[in-house]
Amino acid sequence: MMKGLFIKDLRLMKSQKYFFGVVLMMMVIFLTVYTDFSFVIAYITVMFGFLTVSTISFDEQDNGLGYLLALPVSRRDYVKEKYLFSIATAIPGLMIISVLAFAVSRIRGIDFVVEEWVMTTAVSLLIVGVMLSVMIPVQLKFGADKSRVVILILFGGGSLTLYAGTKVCDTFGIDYMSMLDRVAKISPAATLAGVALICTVLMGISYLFSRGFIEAREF
Amino acid sequence: MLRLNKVKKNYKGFQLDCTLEVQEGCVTGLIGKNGAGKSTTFKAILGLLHTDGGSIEIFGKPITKIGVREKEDIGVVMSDSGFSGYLTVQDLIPMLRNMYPRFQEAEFLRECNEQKLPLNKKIKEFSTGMKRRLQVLAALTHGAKLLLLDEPTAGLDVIARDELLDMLRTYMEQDGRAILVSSHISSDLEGLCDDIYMIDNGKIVLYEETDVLLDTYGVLKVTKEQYEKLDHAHILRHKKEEFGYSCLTDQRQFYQENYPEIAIEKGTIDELIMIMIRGER
Repeated sequence: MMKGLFIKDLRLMKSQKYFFGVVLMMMVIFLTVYTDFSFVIAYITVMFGFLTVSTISFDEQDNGLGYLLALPVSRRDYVKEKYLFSIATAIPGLMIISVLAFAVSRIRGIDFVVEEWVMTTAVSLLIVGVMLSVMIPVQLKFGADKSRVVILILFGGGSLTLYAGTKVCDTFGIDYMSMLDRVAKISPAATLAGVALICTVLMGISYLFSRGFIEAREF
Repeated sequence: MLRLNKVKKNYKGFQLDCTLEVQEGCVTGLIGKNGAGKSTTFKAILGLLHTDGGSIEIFGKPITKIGVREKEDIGVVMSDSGFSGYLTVQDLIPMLRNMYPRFQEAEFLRECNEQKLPLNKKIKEFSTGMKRRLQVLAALTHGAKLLLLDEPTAGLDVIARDELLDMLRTYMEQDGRAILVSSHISSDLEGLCDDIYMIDNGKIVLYEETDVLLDTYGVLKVTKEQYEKLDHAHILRHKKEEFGYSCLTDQRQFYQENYPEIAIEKGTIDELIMIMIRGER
């Protein structure tokens, strides 16, 4: 059953030729013109992350999710497949753009050392992991339209909290910059492993929320 | 095959309270005007709603025990949703093949060709009728034992409706199958259903075998004076008209024999529904 859903999502992805065209064009432009490859890797990875979220929107359109769940698809399988599909699209996407960026940096003679490359890959993985962990359950809970507003509020709230956190640290004399420096000094491989672990935990928690949301929903 | 016992679903201003049964080998119709509760009933059966009471059994199992395996034996047409519009029929084939172990791909493709459903056009570009036919084909081509068809004829022209009803009759030629089908066009169901439930405002207001409904029910057209002299024992509903009253009876023959002066019509199912729903007891 899960295979059927996977095929559906792959076909939905295939129908997004324009999206892929734009991503490919951006990738070529960034890699040939830009010198900041950290940004390129993060940007393209996030674009791949959006693919999963967009398949949920396509499923939801015209109450299509209700029909899909009337077929031999359980609510739990549907959620499971979305997480697996997100991993199956975002991770290869990240790997491809990472390897490509590294290779192009060597060809163009851009200073992009291995440590920076691995760190960028880890940070991109964290960004896409957080993004999917937030967006999948929000999309499943609120549907395509309302979820846009909710996500804006969540990310706005998150940014504000971060800003307030730095101010609080400043007020109480907490040196958060030195803490970040310490994190930066951890070996790239350990950082990557740590980020992968954080993403796994986040996705796990997110999956439980998504499962709860979809089981409570009516169509 | 399917049993709903006092299934309740409460919404603001609407309460579903439905009891119905679909027997093996039978086509059961659910008739009612728009908003009567037909789709809510189907959604409750499909587990798409959380009901507020009662029980639903499919294939003898409570709905909570209906899993993916049992759903393979059910074919579904929903009135307000369908396959993602971003997919093509060609995209659906591998999906359906992997969802239904008994998916009859060749049959599905043959029917798509016959019904002029383009394979490579996005479903969102299909007309309402084409979308409905696609859902019906998907429901009919995986060896389902039970079909749950909510308004399968909506959006279809007369010829397409007739073809669809023929397909359903052919489907029922095999043993061990059943259909629950809804429509607000009762003439669709007259020639197809073995029995009919009439739903209004969330409640089943009438259940009868179609033959009985057509053979023994009738509409009496009476003046005010005739109405007052009438034996009301077999009058189910009456409705005030300009000429007097229209009365629905389930004993047409009784009135034909005892009141030969009264105009008595056999009545179409539509007329029967109209009086049943709009009339007073």
